[in-house]
Amino acid sequence: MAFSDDLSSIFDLEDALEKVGGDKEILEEILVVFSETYPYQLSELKNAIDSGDAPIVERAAHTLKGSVGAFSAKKALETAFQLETMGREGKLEEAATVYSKLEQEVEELDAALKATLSES
Amino acid sequence: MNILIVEDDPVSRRLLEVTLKKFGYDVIATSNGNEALEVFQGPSVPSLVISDWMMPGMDGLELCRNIRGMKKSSYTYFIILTAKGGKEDVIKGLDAGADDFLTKPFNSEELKYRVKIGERIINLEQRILKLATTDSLTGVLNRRAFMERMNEEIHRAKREGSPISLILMDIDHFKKVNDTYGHQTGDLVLQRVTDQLMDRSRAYDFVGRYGGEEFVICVRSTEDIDPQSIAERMRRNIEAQTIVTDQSNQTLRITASFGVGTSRPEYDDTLDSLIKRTDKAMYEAKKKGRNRVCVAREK
Repeated sequence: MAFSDDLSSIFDLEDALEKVGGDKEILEEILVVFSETYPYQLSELKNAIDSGDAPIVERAAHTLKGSVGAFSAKKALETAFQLETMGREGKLEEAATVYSKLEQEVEELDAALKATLSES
Repeated sequence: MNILIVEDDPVSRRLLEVTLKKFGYDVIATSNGNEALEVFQGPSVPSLVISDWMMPGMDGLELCRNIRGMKKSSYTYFIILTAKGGKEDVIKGLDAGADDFLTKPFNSEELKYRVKIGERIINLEQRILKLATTDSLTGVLNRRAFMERMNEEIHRAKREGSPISLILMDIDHFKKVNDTYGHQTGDLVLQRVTDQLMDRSRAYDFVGRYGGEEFVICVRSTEDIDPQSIAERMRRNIEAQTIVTDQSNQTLRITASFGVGTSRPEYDDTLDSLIKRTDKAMYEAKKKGRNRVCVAREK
């Protein structure tokens, strides 16, 4: 897969490793969970945006923010936070656009993590 | 130490679980407040809870308030997870009864030390609890702790429809021991007698010091075993024991009088009425010449 940015702009491996006390296996373990669950989290978020359910948008974005935060994925984290704020404030006009961005960033993150963590 | 994780996000949940297991803790991971509360109904009640704040359904604060409202025999240390830059208000968390906060995404070192702080508090609490419930001379339950537990056991036996027995024991002529050999020897006698009681009680029975030279033993579910024979064995062991005094190497022998009372579900006993019956039986044993077991008349 071709990444639109270099890997370090997608997530900060050094920072993510530091958070787990340098234990790469822990990152690998939670990556497995992440890969399995983010599609559901994304679709929950998408459905909430489509149906204009702001509280669910807030919560689903918040949860995703927590997931990507574990990998120090700064870009995806900020985008998720943007959606969380939109949900909280009930302003969903731009949500679909921001969601597309988030979806792409999360998928990129998953691919980048897989590429990096299976590397060595 | 048992740690309960409550986190709806699978990634964060797994991260907590794996990290805490690596630190050597026993971990139970749940994804919502209701599941977490169910764990508290189970056999191993967690000492420490790490819960996310924002969760669908019951949030972390509500869970914390629920746990604080439970009647438990030990404290639960509660760490609440907040998101960096989130809207959660620390004061609200403290007001709900949380002990500490951890900001996500967290660092494993920080997690380790936050949990260690909790562990320290839990251990202190357990030590204090032990001091507060133990008779310092003999190491058995003190009177208050015994009565509390006995009361619970009577209620439980009633619920389960099983009988429960109380043995009340008083050392014979204990005043004479103190007067003749001194209080140090008196203390030694109390300790040696306790050893015999402990030796003859089963793992699920419990022993307490009721007063000066009076002891109480709770004998649970007596369908398969006769509480009178347990008391009889205790009596024989005490009688057979030779106690060597610390100072003068003198030896002395001790006897004790026992009362046995049984409560059956249909009796509608209270702790008080069971003790009264058993106490009467014990006095009967004294009156009949001591060093014997008397059984209280059934109600």
